[in-house]
Amino acid sequence: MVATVKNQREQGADKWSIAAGGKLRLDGDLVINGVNVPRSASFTPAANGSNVCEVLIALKDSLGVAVAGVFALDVYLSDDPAGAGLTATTASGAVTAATSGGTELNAMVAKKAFRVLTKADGTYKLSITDSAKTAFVVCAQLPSFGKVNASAALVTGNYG
Amino acid sequence: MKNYAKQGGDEWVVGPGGLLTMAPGSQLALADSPLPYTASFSKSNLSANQVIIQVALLDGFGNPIRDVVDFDLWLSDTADGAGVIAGTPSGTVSIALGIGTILKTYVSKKAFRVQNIGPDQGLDGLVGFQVNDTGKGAFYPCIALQIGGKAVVGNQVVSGDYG
Repeated sequence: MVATVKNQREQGADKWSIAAGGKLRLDGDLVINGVNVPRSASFTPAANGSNVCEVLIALKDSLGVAVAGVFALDVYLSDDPAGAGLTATTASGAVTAATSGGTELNAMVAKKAFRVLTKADGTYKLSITDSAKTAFVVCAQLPSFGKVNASAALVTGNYG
Repeated sequence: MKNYAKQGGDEWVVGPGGLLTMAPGSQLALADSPLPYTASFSKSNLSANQVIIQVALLDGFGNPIRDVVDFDLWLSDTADGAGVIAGTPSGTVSIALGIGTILKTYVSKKAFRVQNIGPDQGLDGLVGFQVNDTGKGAFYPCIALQIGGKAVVGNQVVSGDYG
């Protein structure tokens, strides 16, 4: 019995085929039209004003290098370390794009889930005002791969 | 070596630091269905103070995508697509000629979640939208594709593009 080859260069070499049961494992980067597709996001919280935490979300490639460009993505607050579900807590104040932090296209769930555009440098800064200084987990669902990236839970010291 | 076939040949690995590059003129397909690679934008008008933008999703070969695809569409003041327009058109911003569907209005007259027209309707997966504005304001039409995700920005719409 001849084994079926599930990954192969087809005759003429213009087409690489992955047949059913085959697998493409992407630990490196996918480049489409000259652009690295973001593979992950980093989250950097910083206190800014009384009860305000600003979280800088930066898109990265597989090597952790910043990916520049305007990208549309979902950003939300969760209570779960892996980002499952929305937070049960509603912040006492505004949750929105920080000044010059990017564009909030839509609040899908008020103060909890948003469709946003990054700035041209591939970053978005979320501003959270919450007098309870809740330990939110900030999450971003990246374009293309769909997996949610989640921050460490915020701590009291991340708020002003 | 950062790109290699695993022993047995069933798995192709792009290792850390490796690249899988889809160059212009190439195509990535899943289950034989080409994924959108870029988009083209065309401008026209049918009445006074109106401009119609038709957005065609294209595969890497430049062929129209015939699958139904949802994506974000917005009007921007910047050539890189950052942000939405500061001004607001005086009239409606809506689907034109019945080409496509607005699934959700993110920002009234400025940003939308849209769906292209189905292949059974014979228009090769287009979305058409119209901006009616007595001020004939300039803007860049922008979309973000699910694959790749980076904004694709059309040529600026200017006063002379309006009827």
